[in-house]
Amino acid sequence: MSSFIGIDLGTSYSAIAYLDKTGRPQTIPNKEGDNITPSVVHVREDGEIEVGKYAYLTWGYDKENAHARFKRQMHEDVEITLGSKNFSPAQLSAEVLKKLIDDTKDVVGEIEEVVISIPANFPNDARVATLEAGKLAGLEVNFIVNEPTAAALGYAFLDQEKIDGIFAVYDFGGGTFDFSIIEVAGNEFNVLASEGIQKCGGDDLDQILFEIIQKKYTETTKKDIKFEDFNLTHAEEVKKALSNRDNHIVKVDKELIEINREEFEEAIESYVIQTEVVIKKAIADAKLTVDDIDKVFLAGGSTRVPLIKKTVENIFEERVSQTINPDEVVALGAALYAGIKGDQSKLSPAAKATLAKITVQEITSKCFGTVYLDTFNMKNYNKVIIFKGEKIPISRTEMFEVIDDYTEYLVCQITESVSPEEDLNWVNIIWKGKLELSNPSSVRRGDPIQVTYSYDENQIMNCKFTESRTGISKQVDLDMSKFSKSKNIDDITVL
Amino acid sequence: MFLGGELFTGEYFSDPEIRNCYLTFYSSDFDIENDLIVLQLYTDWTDTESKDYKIFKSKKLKKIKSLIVPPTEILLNNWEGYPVYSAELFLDDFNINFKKYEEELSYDLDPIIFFIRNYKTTQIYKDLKDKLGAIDLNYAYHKTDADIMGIWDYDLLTFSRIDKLALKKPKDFESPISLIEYVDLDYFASYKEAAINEFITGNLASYKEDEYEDYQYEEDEYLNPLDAYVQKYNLENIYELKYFYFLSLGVYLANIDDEFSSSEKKLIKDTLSEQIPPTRSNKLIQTVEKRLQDNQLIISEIISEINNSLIHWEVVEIVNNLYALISIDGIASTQEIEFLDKITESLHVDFQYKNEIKTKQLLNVDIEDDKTNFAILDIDFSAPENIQIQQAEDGIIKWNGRLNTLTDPKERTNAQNFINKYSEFIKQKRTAQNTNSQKKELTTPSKTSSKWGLLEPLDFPIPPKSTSEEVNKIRKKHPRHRARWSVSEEEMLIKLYKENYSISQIASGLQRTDDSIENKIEKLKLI
Repeated sequence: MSSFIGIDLGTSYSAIAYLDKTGRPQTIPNKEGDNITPSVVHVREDGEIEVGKYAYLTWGYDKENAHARFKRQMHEDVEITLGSKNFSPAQLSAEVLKKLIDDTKDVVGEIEEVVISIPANFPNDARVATLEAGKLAGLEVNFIVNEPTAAALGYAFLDQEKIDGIFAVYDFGGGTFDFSIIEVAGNEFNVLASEGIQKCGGDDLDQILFEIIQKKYTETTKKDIKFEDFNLTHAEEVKKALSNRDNHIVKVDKELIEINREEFEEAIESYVIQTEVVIKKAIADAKLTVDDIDKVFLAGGSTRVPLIKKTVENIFEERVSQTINPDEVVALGAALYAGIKGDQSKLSPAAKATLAKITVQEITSKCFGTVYLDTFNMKNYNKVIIFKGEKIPISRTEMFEVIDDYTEYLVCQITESVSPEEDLNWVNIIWKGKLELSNPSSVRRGDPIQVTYSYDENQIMNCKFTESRTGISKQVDLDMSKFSKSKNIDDITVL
Repeated sequence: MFLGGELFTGEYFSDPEIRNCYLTFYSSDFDIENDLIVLQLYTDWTDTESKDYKIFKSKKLKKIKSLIVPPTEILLNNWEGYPVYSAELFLDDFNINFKKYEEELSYDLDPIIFFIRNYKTTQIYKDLKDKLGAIDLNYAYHKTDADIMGIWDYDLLTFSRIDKLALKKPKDFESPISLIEYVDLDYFASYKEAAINEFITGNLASYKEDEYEDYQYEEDEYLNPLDAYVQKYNLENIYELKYFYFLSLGVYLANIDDEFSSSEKKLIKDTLSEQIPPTRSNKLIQTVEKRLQDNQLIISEIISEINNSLIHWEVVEIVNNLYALISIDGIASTQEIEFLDKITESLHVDFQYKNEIKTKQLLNVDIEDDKTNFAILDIDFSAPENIQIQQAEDGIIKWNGRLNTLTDPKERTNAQNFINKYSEFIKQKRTAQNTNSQKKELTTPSKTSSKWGLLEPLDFPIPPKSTSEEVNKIRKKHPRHRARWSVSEEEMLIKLYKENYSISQIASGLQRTDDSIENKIEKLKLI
């Protein structure tokens, strides 16, 4: 039987889930028997690559040969040397994907559709690298899904109570924080808003805890802490302990160092504030108030930290729910997304009955615009045409003008940014092309140019530049789900 | 012969007073590669009775009689036997309210053109000011050896700046109002001739007084208010003043950390050498250093003079260069940033401009961090606290988005530091607020009417109206239903609970439902 797979390729831990015969998502344990696998790669002395729990333990004392948290480097052009081998972040991620698939192949069998989740605010380069990782692992990844959307799907299907209304997902993972608001009406899932912070996760909390312990150790011993005596893996254990007790004693070398929850929470408060700001922004973007949110689901291991949970409860009171393991809910939702988006004829009849009527209405995750010249100050600016958070599908047209007589061609540029920025310093140019104007001798200043961006349900953005005078248009299709140019209809010269 | 064309008011732009225009003229004897033109623009040319007669003035009220403009292209090779040239007038910094002049300008904006051939820019002011009054050199390019040639016929034509490869927004031009459509130049011929002769020959006596009254009227105003500063600092001309001020502030700033580094010196020299010959810039640097050593560099005086003399864009340019200066070593101290912020504020540079400049210049440097110092942030510290917090929240969102577009590791680290710093700022503000409110609320005796009756509502904020009808319905009876719990409110709840107030009493005091109080007590693990 073909499988529909969802993978949460996390910063700290990864998880894999599949749809069972009834269409219900199930996480699959790895060979070590755990439902989550540390996203750590170790190159052993014999050159063998080891991924997961034991690689994580090695990473604790041998950073030369083991590497973790590479999800945070996915957008970077870096080379990571482990032993005698060099890896890109995508290659390391591919090793994690291979481990997940290899460990579960007896359950998974032949893969029909695989969906990998990514943070809502993931840079495009990182998105491309994630797809590249899938390819390197031998997977054909047709869809990627935003982690909070996946978590929302997971909760909507698996929560004991039938959900109907507006709910939110507070996803504080290992590396990133995401907050999404989703409206559920029967089988329709409408994403209303999605915001995230790129660098705000359990890892940052571990780092803060490490720094507290390090400071205390140095104050007592006047020495620097040795990596093998105390490192981030130990800090993570202390963090987990402090989630269950008010204080904890750590042995570093020969020193016993006491840390209490209060001082840890005081130190991490600025990260928690960032999540509050994002919540506020998402609620405002969705044109709602806090009271309009019927339920808030927690996802991500860091939501076990009492301060974080308390903060969410302070905002949403009794409407906070954590009924599903926060480490697994994203993978479960991603598997559901695979079933919804994939070829449903390959699903079992029961699964098909469960998933066939489900629709997921996504929103745009970025702003898309074009570069224009402001004749007032002769500077180039970005004009946003499609804004972040708009319901897909959407099509919008803006008019521009040719600025000089006899113009032969125009340089058309498609931009992308998280906020509606005007300043080109803060946008990415994701496509650049030359639009030849017809019969330049008859082109006059002020001739209108129509620019239309259409973003469809399959996340294909069609960008069309039309010379209104003649009706001649040039267009390009960009696949925003994968961020690749899928079609170049009129063979525009890409600069 | 005619004067015609279009001038657009600024109402199609964000600032109603800002505009530029496009001038065309024809001549048999103009050399586009080497010559400049001097323009004099007047309003109310014919209305000698009007007290509104004005020459162009900069926004800083610097009197400008003439503008020097380099024509940029040949529009037509032949117009009545002459080639036609075009030049843009950058009037952005000039203080003409087109709305005020809407009627008059339909015929009254009148340029007079002189050619300057092969002149050294730095000499123009010196040599021509007697004849032409104050000159704005902002629009001059470097040229060599020139003399005044005379006046030619001209058109005042359309408005625009050009760029062949760019798109522009059409909304700025949706329905252009033409203020000058067609003017019969013969009508003004005598006045024009009078003016030309006056400028060229200085022979004022050959005209009747009322015909050139306007010139006499303006004569005193033409005395350049900057001359005193030029003399004071022994500068060669007015053009050096802007650089002298940048230099003074820059040298002062660079010495804040007691180290005027070689890279700082180089940046200052490079900045000056773009406009001033190296020997001259070295001399200026020496002068300023000497003034610093002799304690003659008084910053408040410099700032006051800048405010009196330079136009807005010159000030912005100085500020931009100063932020570049403190960033040049790759590290900026918070004292330097704070000091420069204060200077910028004193120079009345718009908060938004300042932040834009500051952000771009500082993104690439290491900031010497001090947790309690938030000078690096785009926060208006003079604003009310809630506005400051809002600005900090906006800063988090802004930089979080920008992280997506930054690829340079240092820039990314700095952007992340900005985010962390903003949240740290919010944290400190909240801590201060909580401390204050806790003190206030916990020391206030609970407002009980009776220990057995319901409590009077306690002083906690009432939330705004909800979009949920159901919530609003409950709030009619319990106004704080689903309001966010603050630390102080939680502490009040604990206090009341420990003092054995009933659930209903606490609920009435906190203006919530009994159920929500019970839930909260459970969550706080009080039961």
